[in-house]
Amino acid sequence: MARITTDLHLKLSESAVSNLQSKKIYTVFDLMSEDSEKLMQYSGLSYQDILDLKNTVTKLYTGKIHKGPDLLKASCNGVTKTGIQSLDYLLRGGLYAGQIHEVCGVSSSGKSQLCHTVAVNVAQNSDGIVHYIDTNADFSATRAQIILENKGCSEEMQVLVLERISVTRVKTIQEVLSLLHSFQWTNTKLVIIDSLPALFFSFDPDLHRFTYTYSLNIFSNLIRWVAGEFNIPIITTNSVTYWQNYAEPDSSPLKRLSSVKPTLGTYWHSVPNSRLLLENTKSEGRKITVWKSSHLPSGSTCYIRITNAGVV
Amino acid sequence: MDWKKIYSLMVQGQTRYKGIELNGREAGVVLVNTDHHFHIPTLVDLMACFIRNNNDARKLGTTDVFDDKGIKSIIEDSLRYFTVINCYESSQFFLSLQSLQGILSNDDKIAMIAIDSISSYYWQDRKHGECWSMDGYVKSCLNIMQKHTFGHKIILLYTRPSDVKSKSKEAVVRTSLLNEEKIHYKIQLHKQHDVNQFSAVVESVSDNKNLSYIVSNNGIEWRTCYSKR
Repeated sequence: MARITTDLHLKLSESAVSNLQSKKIYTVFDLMSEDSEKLMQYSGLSYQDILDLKNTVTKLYTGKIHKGPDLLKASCNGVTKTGIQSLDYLLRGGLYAGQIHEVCGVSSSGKSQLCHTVAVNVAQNSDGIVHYIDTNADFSATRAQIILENKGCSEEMQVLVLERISVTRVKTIQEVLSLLHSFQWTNTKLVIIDSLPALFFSFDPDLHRFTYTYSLNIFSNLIRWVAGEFNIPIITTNSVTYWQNYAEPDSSPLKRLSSVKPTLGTYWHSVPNSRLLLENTKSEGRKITVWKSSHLPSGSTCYIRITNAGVV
Repeated sequence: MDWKKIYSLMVQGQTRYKGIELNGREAGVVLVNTDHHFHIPTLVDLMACFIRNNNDARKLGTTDVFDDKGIKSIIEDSLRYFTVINCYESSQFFLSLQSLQGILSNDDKIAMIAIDSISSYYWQDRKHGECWSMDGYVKSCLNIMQKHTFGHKIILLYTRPSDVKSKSKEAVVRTSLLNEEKIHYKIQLHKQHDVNQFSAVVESVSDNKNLSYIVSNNGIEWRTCYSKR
């Protein structure tokens, strides 16, 4: 918590600050908790100066205040198309800025293939950067190039698109936290974190339950900040566990969803804004089901295929 | 928390448009956004539904006044009553609660302050501060919120996940009076796993009500309600 300094107000002198400290008012939190009239007595400032001081603290340290019409204006250009037609239709246009989208599925269900394709499509269709945070060393530049070749892109275009995909390999949650803090997010069109469970494998949830949930809490707050303050859509990937009352992939979507669970535990369940379940179907294709979402109907589905030109 | 439930409370902004009663409240809403599940396009869609389904306009046979331009104008006007405070860490959240007094003093239209959710920074605060129980933590946040909104005639609404509970007796209790660290209503929401059906148990000092509802594109559609003591 920030400490009270003379920078906060022109009339707040060193002696006034030490007077406040003698009354155990050290931080801006202590200042805002204290009654204005008492602050007048302790600091020697006028009532108006105390109100100005509190207003300055509000502007500098509280959450950012947005009015409804400004939010509406900001949301108007806030949809990034994945470039996969059926998925964009399912998502009502594409990936919404400021939202965390989680793709869940078992191993080999196509999560990384989907991430590769979306990264290539977004990099191709915009002039911004796609940040690909790779925790399993799964990102393959060759695969991205093959997707572009099969889409009929020229060599020049392939280089241009690949230059727009910034891949960072990380191994621990600490590395991710430090990256999220230090990245320059301007001109970023999309952030992909593939995949999350690898970051938390080192925690034994039974032994380190508190540290585990604390790390998830810090991570959640940080990606919400990146998404919200820089208006960037985020994709994360996660695994799933199946329960004994396993429902076949072809059973009703809502019944099916109640028989699987995303990994990472209860705390993480509610963090992503939308969660999608990616599954193999009996034919060669994949089925994507909306698992939970603040704006999409749960249980709605679409079908995709993995081809040489990526996911279509 | 499904935000459509709270959106339904928020959508009633403007009161009249071209002489037609919209049943709006002209009431301001402040959302302290900590879980970041709020999605403004969904709020706008619900407001459009609310306007299109306006009964008074239907009775008058004047639904045509609500063309896309008219609806857009009503929504833009109504959104002036809506403020979001985006918080990303604990100190921002607590300072935002402390600044509510100033925000309320500058805008007498504000009738509701909603926090989604009050326990977002519980684990962060537990690491750096005391070994709070979840209930004790919520109680202390409630205390700060009530202290900094005292004297203003507003509705305070907060959400918290029901899967993290304290093992001891519930600390935040119901009251019928104005009491710090106490609440008037507790609304427990449940979702049935494999169907689109929900239920709400509304508990107050004097009464318990069970309600069932579904969530559709029109927001909440209430189905049944019965009381039990």
